[in-house]
Amino acid sequence: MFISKRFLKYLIILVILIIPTVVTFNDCKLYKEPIGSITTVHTEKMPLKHGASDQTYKQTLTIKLMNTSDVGNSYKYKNSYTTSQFATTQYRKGQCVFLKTNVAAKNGGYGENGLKIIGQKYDYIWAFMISLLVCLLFAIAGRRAVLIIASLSMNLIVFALGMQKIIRFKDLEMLTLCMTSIFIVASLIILYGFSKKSFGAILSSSTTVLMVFGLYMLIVHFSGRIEYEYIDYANISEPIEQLYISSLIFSLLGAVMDVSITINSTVNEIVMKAGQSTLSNIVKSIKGVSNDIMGTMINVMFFTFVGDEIPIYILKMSNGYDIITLFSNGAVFEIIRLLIGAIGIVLAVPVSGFFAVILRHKMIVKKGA
Amino acid sequence: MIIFVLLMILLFLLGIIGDERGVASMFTFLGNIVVFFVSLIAIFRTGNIYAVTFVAIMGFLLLTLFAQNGFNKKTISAFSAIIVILSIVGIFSVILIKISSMAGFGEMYIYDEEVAFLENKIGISAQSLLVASILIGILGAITDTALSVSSTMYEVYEHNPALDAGELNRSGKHVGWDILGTTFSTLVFAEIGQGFFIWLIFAKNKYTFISLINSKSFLQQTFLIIMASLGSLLIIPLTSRITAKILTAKK
Repeated sequence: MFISKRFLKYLIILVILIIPTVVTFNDCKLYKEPIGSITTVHTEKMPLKHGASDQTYKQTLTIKLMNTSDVGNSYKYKNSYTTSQFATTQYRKGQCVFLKTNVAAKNGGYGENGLKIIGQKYDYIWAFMISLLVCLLFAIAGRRAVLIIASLSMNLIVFALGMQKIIRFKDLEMLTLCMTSIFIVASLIILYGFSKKSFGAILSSSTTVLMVFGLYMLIVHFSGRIEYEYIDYANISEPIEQLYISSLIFSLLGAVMDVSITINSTVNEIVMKAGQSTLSNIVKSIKGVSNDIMGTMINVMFFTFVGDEIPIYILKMSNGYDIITLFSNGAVFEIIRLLIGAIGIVLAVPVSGFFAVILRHKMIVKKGA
Repeated sequence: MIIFVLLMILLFLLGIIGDERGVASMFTFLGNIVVFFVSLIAIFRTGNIYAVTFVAIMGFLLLTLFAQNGFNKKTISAFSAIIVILSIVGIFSVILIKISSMAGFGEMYIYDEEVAFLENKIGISAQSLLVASILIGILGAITDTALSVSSTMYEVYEHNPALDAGELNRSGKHVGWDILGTTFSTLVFAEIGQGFFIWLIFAKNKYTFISLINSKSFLQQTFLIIMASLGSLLIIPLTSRITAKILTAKK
């Protein structure tokens, strides 16, 4: 029977996508914590209280235990949620939930046998999303997908290991420096191999990050005390200032590396392929490319940073915060992060141009002559 | 004070490094901030999250694509691809958010003293707000990717108008593959930095791999980056195809 290559490719993608999702959806028996599957849901709309902005709903759930010695037993569970669902949850049939059993009613047991839902099972959502991403990456980027996955995995492993050291709160500056160096070198070498282009991008990225760090320290020195204790999720008993500076450096790394490799690649292509390449031609090309990428790169940082915060901003505004108050406490630090990132992107252009030209100096002189 | 100083430094650097287009980038950036503020107020006042998000996205694209790069074949191709990908990722996000009930407070919110004491029954759906935040959050990454692909294809076609749609399409995909790695890195590092204090709490509480992948806060924290990566991936072949068709339309 004839099966086209394209059909086979999509079939493999479908199988890779479905298997991890189905396996993780049905892996309850591998967990020690009690897990239940919601088999029936009955929802009742409650009368709207006078002046209330949220409608309340009451749910009666049937939860079937999927593991432990009581596997197969079903229990009734009462849940209530409101339309905004910030602190409450609407459960649906088929969802799997982590349970606590034998919880005393006064401690929050809401079901038969003192049952309490303590969280949801999300592993199958992760399996689905990661499989989808990997499949698409291979389908669209081909062999290059291996390099991208290797680079991302390497960075995530270094970050996870680094965090284990960071929480000891010792030698934070040295740790940040080491992690930053590994991030830059590993990402660029894995993605672009050992080449002049990578070497130039490593030098450019490292120098830019150091310059931005120096600039920030200088501004902080002359701006007076910054109230770092307003940073969201910060613990005032920890060295918040040093931690915030580390976070600033990490957040601009990706964008700076992106600009550095683009400029180094451009100079490389011009020197290798153009018949005659004078220094002024190269500088003109660097300006052209940088004008194309700077604006959109700054926007990538802007949208990524503000997108995450929308639900919290609306919640705060609903609690009487005006725009000025909203951006005068914790959000100040996000604005600083955004501006530092943008400055990093812009500074990376001349720095990368400088290193790209210096590294190819002999060739430029030869071709320009 | 520090924000004012940083803003002045950025404006100065954009002016000397990027010339008039650099200053235009700065005004686009400031324009986007204004659109963002206005859309926050509009969501809060009207409660009509999806309509406001749609108008805000159009405003962002008008500034980022057309005001900054002009109304031409490159930007029209990028715009068409962005709208299609936003629709796909939007629908996909709604489905995932609904089936997983991932909106609302994760377990980490108790560590944010300011938020923990706020009145949360506000009459605005946390699920719809999460969808809006995903759509706006991925906009930068997919616009950057789409514009890079369409701009390069335009340059290639200008230098060699004899190329047919198929060859142009392949050229666009090659460019897309080249920039994917760094686009992913930009997104990942932006998230590492932004969520740094939450990552610290995860580390201090000794979350294992299994507890991480079952954590609502962890899923919320990374969902935007996954959707942005998905959007950046999908937009490459689509932009290549649309740009190739538009550029070779007269043939």
